Amino acid sequence: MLRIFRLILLICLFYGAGSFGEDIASGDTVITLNVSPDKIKVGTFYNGSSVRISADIPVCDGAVLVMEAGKEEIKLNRKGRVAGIWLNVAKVTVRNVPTVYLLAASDKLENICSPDRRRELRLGSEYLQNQIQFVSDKPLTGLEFEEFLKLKTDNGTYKMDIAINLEMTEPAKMRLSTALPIAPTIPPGTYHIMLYCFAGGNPIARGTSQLTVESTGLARLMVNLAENNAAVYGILAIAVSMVVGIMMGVIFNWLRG
Amino acid sequence: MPCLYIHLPIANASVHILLLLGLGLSVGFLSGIFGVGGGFLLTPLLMMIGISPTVAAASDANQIVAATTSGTFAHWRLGNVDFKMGLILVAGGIVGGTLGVQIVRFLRATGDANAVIKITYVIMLGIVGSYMFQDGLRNLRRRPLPVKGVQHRKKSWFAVCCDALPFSTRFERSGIDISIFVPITLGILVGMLSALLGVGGGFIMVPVMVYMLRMPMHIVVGTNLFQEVFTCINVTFMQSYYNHTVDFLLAMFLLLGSTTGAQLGAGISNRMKSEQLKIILALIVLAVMVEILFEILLPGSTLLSFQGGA
Repeated sequence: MLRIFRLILLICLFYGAGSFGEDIASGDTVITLNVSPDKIKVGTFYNGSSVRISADIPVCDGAVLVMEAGKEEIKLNRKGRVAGIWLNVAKVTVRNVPTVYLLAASDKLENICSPDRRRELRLGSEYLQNQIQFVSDKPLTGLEFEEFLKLKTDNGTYKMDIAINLEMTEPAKMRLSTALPIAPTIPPGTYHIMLYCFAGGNPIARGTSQLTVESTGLARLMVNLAENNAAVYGILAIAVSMVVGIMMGVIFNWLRG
Repeated sequence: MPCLYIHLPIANASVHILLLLGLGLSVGFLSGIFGVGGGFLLTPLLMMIGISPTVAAASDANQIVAATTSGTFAHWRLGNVDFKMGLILVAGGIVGGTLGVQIVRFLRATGDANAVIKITYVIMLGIVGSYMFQDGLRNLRRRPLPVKGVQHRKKSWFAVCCDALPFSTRFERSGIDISIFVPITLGILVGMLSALLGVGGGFIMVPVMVYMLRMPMHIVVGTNLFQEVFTCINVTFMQSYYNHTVDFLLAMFLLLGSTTGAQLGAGISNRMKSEQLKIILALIVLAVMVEILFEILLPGSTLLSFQGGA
């Protein structure tokens, strides 16, 4: 009877651990991440921010941290040369695009783990290339992925060259620190942060955390009004512009005497 | 200093406050001098500082409402607005604008809108700018003719056609007699072109009034500002309602600069000769034409771009 009870308990524990995700099931060490700040408020005078992340990790060959969110579909124009003129020649729809993708690493990714492992753990351009799909009304050129990365990097929503600093603190422990630049173009939302520590190309420790970006004050009010009461927003925008225009006229006339 | 940056919630970008005020001031100044809304200048400038094209165009229209209201107010006090002509042009412009929007929808469906718009821009700006520059320069160099040498100028084919049209109307403020069909037709044509090019249309309307309707330059400036107020009110409302692309905060900072600039410009315009105004405006028009020409001749940093901005 006791054996049966133990067997049932073991089965329950196995499935219970599985439900908490790959981290515990694989038996890796779970790391606690310190994210500061863990909430960014986008107000009127917001000009981007920086998030400092630190953690105590076991001794490893390298560490990779990624911040990612959402999957969206983006519509793009592709330029081409027609009779010497650069014009939009095709519409390209990009599917399964992470809205934001920031990657920090202690070394080059190829020195830390294999391409298969990178794809599996959603790390770097191999993962993105595998994930993102391009659909166009014209034949694809094969340059779309490279150009898309350039576009998102210029836009500030993708960055894959952020450094991680690793420091020995104890014989079996290291201190990890990095700073993620949060560009002003990164939209409000909840972003998932994943940290992997590797030894011999395999993950030996993992940690997760979250970062929330939310608009507040006037910015939030404006976005809500523009999206939910567009007619009122439009009339207000016109009325205020006209009043300011007339007021400026009156002020200048008064100044001229 | 981070506090000098402002976050634009609809544009989803942060921009230095002084940069926005400076852009508004410069374009408003030109608006006050030449009686143009400045959309054809400010929209490309906003795109250059990272604002998406749709938000730039829509917010620009919003700020032009203030700049043109301010400019119209200033020119009205100086007696430079022909309200009768302005209202007829507005009526034509609304009809033309509605037709133009349908043309743009058709071109978008076929995928040729961007090409057509840019090439039309270059051709229009090239013709208008070159003609104005040549004419301004010729008038500036011309010596006053002795009284006995003055002869009646031969009427152009356009003037002959206009005289043959019915419903001739006196436009007291402009000092011209012309058939009502002429400003209505011109309003429709300019309205269509404005919808196609996505601007207020002042840079087209000003030369049309000067060269085709033969209106005095200072009346042209005030009357054009008057008609642009209505065009931009229409655009602002439509963009807010259908596309949610008007960034009111961006428009506010731009208009603080532009209304100040418009007042300064209007004050200076009355002290400048018409020929000088024409030459300066022609040079600005040609500079914008060259900028667009470069845009279509050079590939840019990436071959992909967001449809309607990021």
